[in-house]
Amino acid sequence: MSELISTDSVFSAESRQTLCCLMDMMIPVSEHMPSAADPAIAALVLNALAARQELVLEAVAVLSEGAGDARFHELSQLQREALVADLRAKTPQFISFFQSQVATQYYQDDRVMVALGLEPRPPHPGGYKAPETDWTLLEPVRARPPLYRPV
Amino acid sequence: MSDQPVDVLIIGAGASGAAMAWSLADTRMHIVCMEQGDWMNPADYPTTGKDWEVRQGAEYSFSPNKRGRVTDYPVNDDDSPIKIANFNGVGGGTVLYAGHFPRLHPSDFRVRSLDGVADDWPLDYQLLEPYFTENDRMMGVAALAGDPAYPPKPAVLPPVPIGKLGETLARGFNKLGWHWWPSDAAIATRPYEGRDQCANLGPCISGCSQGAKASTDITYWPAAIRAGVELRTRCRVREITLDEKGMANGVIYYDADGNEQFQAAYIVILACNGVGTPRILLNSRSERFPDGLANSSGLVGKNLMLHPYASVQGVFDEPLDGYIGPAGCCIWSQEFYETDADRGYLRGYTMEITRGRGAVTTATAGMAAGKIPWGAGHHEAYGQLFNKTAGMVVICEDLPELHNQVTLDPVLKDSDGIPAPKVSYTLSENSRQMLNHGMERGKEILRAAGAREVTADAPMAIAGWHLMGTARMGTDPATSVVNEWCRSHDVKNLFIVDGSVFVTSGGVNPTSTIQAIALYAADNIKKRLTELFD
Repeated sequence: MSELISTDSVFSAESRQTLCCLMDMMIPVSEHMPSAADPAIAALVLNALAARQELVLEAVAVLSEGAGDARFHELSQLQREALVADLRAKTPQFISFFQSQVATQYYQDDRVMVALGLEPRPPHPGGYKAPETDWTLLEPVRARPPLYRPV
Repeated sequence: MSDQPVDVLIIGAGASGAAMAWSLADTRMHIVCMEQGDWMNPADYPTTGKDWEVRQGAEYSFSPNKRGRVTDYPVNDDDSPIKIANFNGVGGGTVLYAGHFPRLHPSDFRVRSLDGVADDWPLDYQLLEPYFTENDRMMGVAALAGDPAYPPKPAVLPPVPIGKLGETLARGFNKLGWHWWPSDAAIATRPYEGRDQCANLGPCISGCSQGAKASTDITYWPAAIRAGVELRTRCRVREITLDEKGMANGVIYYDADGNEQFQAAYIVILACNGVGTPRILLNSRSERFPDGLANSSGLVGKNLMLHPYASVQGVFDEPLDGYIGPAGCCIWSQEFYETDADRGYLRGYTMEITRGRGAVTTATAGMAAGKIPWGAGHHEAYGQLFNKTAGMVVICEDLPELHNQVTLDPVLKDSDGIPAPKVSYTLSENSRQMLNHGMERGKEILRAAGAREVTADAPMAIAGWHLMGTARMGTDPATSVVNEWCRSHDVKNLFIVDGSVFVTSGGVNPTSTIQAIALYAADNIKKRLTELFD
């Protein structure tokens, strides 16, 4: 879970905790992969979520209301999952936006790219080396008569 | 305002405008091309950043509505299941195309004679063959000679490597005994005419940072400009004007500051694609042409053809390295290209094998489709999809229908106040049957290649890439807009050279044929200069 503390975020500390908790629920840590709530990733996600602040805060409010006197991130896994299921039904547009922003930032992270077997860089200028093609695969096609229709 | 006429004014600097400008430069006439967009800078293309997948879907989106650049015009495509794609800038649609570069086949020009549908073209493959070849040389086409789906044709550059993904699919085709061949690709696989060779970046469809893909800003335009053609960017043409004799005498356009300007011209050539061209013609109304310029037939904007696409995807157990190599250029199959009435439809389609999705798109698409869950199962589900997905698109021939059309939207306008095009389009039953056939055959191939899970979907909403038929060519002025060498029947110094002039669509990407026709039209203009307006 993220320990992210940001003083210049458009979201309050409590909202950030709720959102980071959601990020972790979406993509938790695994043996080789960080959680989406990893501080470096979460900071980028929160920044991206600010583009639709109103939608995001509405969702946070739904979760807070559902949590009652407790805080969302303090609930049990089962309780949080039930609230997220409720959120999916109430604001699918938030879920769609949130998923997209989390996935976008997560899968551009250097550690994640390396874990996936990718070099942590853009395609250009390095490019990629393609293997030589085995053109003997074409032998049965070369043996065919013309396919095109005579006119 | 410029009352000093230029000899030739070309509207649009894309695939056909560039080819036309380069060819006409031989004449030493004063040739001006007006382009509403800008020159592109390859250093700005998305593949120079790790966020390439995000930018590909935003400011480099195929959709002008999503892209929303100041150089774009909006398109009302609410009344179409297939949304319009284009790009406005020097190079036009070739900036964002895949570079997949098949020619139309000989049979495509004879559909009425062969299959009793639509109409024959007033020209044929044999007539266009030298122009195809010239265009292949100018664009630098990578290919492998000997494809039995075509009459013999030369290969300018070695074919693109098909990679592990391509070889996997090729084995599937071979198991079924079906045709496949490396795709003809407008991609330099070796250094060529000042272009660097392909570095296998992947997403050619958001612009080639390497400069290997043949967009016309780096192929025809440098040569045309060296030969004296003047290219003016940020000039958005509103309408073509007429003199008292009914001849085109210039254009009214808006400059980069939004100021209305006039440019006089002796010859006007439209090269704005199958939506942009009818838009300008329909907006060029006069007493002589109250329904739009060159529209005595009533066919300007009608018979819009879009190529309905199906997508077929398969998930494999082994990594396919699909991120290596041009995304849209791998192998193709034309096993089902020619008509077989037993299939339940007429005409046919191309299967274009596409390479894999990027890391971000795998996640967003997988979650949207419900294949990648939240929580503990996320990583495993993602791992089963990433770099293990391969597939194809099925490009179906779209037959012309009058009700599929481009009109002017009564409300929507671009930033200069020019009415936006409105597209009304429905899929025919023939197209539906063809899409269904293509999806089933695509699934068979993927299973034969070893896919453990296959899915298919059609029509692809984003796939309005090919815009054709809205100012068709023909010998009869009552049933066509331009003649067989692209001169308007109604206005003798007005020419149209983009996909609008297509009589039928074929079942392949049209750029190669669009450019061959533009070169053929240019040759006719040059040969007929002394009698051009007779």
